[in-house]
Amino acid sequence: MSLSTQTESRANAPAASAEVDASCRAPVLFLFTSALLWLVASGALGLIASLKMHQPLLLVRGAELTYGRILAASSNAFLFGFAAQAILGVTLWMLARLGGTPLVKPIVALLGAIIWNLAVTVGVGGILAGDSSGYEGFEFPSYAVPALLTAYTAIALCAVATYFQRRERDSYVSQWYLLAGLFALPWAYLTVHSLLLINPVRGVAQAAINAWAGAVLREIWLGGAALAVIFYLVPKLLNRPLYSRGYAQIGFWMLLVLGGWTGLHSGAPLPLWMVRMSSFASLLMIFPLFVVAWNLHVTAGGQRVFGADCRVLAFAGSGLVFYLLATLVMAINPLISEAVQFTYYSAAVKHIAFYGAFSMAMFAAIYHIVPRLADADWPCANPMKWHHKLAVAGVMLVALPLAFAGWQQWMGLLDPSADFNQISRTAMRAYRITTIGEILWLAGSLLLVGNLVKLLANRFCPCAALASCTAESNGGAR
Amino acid sequence: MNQAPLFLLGIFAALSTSWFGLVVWPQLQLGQLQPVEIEETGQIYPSARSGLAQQGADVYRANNCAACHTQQVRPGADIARGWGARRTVAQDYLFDTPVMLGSLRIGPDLANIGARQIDDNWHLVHLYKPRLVVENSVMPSYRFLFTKRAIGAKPSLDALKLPDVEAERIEGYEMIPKADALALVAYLRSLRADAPLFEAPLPTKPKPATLSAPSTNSPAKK
Repeated sequence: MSLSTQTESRANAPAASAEVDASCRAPVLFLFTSALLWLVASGALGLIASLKMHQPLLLVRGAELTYGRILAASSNAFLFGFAAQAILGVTLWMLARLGGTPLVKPIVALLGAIIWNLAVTVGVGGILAGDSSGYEGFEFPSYAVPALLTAYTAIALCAVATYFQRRERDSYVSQWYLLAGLFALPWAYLTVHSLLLINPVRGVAQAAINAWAGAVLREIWLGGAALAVIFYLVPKLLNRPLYSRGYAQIGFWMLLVLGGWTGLHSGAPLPLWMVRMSSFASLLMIFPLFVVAWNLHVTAGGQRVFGADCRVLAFAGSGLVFYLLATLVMAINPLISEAVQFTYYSAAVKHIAFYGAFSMAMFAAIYHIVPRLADADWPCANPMKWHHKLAVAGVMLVALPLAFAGWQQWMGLLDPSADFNQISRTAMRAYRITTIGEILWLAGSLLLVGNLVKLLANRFCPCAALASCTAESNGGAR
Repeated sequence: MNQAPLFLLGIFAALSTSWFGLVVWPQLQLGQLQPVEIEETGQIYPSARSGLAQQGADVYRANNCAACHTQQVRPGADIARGWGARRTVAQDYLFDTPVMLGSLRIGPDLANIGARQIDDNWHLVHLYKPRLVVENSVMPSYRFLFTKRAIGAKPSLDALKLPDVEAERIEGYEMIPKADALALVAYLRSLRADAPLFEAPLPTKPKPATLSAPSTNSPAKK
């Protein structure tokens, strides 16, 4: 069970895995379950928004269901309902497991998670009610933020305390990414809250701050968490040591320094040096990308695994491929920025990063961690296989049509006398295919939720105890 | 054992580079920006919005219009398209909170919509049912900004002047814009970034009157 980076010299013996898992059980299972429910909620909202693109007269009587509001509600439910809780769950469990120590104060983490969910509910409700802050990625109204940050602090303190009490002296690359993310999110949100919502700065400095916070969120918080999971699962499931700790360090620190710079685009009404710096940082992102890819490539070394681990690895592998793709495309973006910015192309890249790279990695983590926490196998193996297929197809069926629509817009806009409405309508044909992708994605997520509910019911609901025996033996047989 | 504090300090230092660059420094550079006097006209630019237009900005924010509309004119193609007389610069957004630049153009850029479309009724009908004025528009209807009312002895003065096809469809009724609709239109009408600025002067040659002029512009840019 121990990773190769762990040393033999120990102050205290590391706690047994079972003890660590037991300490994480309540908060992490709660975080994962509610994360997945938010994912479904976000997917359903996104689907409604998508349907409105087919029919402009759908659901137009109420302001709450207008396109812009549902879209913002959907993306914030994804970011702070699903992503944040999945990351926090992974962080708590991995810091405890890799540190060889039980989670500190699980009850505080659980309380924090409950408050977090209430705050996210208030935030999403606020957006639908028209109280959106108007800053992309941080649309929660200001009244939802204090509770959000309080809940986060409670959970993060448990995580940091657990890290400080670790019994494994050496830290592993996954821990670095998770700790960085643990700080990056509240830093970004606190900056947004104080400088944009409470005491807004003047004019376009707001846009620079919004871009910085968004880039930190995307590159360091979401991207870092995806890498943490991939760096954990690949060596572990293949039973191979990490190829190079030095490479991992280079990749980590470069991401941390560069990540926040990457948010601006050419032509923005900002001083030119900012845009230039941002483009330069984007291009430099090629290096950490290459280092990470090479490190994992050599680590994997053509090994194969089978059974349940294989399916977890399939999620992690797809996540890695999408991560590399998204980061590469974003890195070369400044070169074609003038043509593709404001088109669906940028939406396609964002979709690959959020849904392809990040979510796939989180699914891998959830599939890996939950059976250990619940001390029970997944009741059914087939939904897991189908979830992977549906998720990959879902991401592709959104990203590819979007990229194609973006290309059509680009070509159309080359002629300044061409009718913009006509260009929009042409691109809309491809755009409408994305609804299918959204449905597939949602179906896949529902499979995971169903599987999780079944597992939890079998394991923790006394009335289902008998069924659990048969279900577990079935799972074992697969 | 503990390298942990040092490691956390490292994370802090690494993150703070971009924080200083994109959060603190822009504030130092742009925080002191003030309205300026336009040489040609003697007017102060930008001027604060009227109260109604300011309320309209709130409607724009609440409904996330920025999800589909940008408010920034880039040099080159955007100007050739007629979306603005010059590129937009920091000065143009001085009184905006939040600044809603937008990041996707499902609909056209709105930085100068107040200069491009000056008919209030057109805007209202467009919000009510975009396809009545823009053929096959993909914009959703903002029906909730209007109240349907039976026509009394005389049609109301503030009712929408609808195209015949729609007026016949709702025969006997009229559509009255709510306060939010009027505010939103006032805001849209206030959107114009075309004052000649030192850092973004207007093109010196006369404005292109025909379609041929912009197309001669474009090859030079691309």
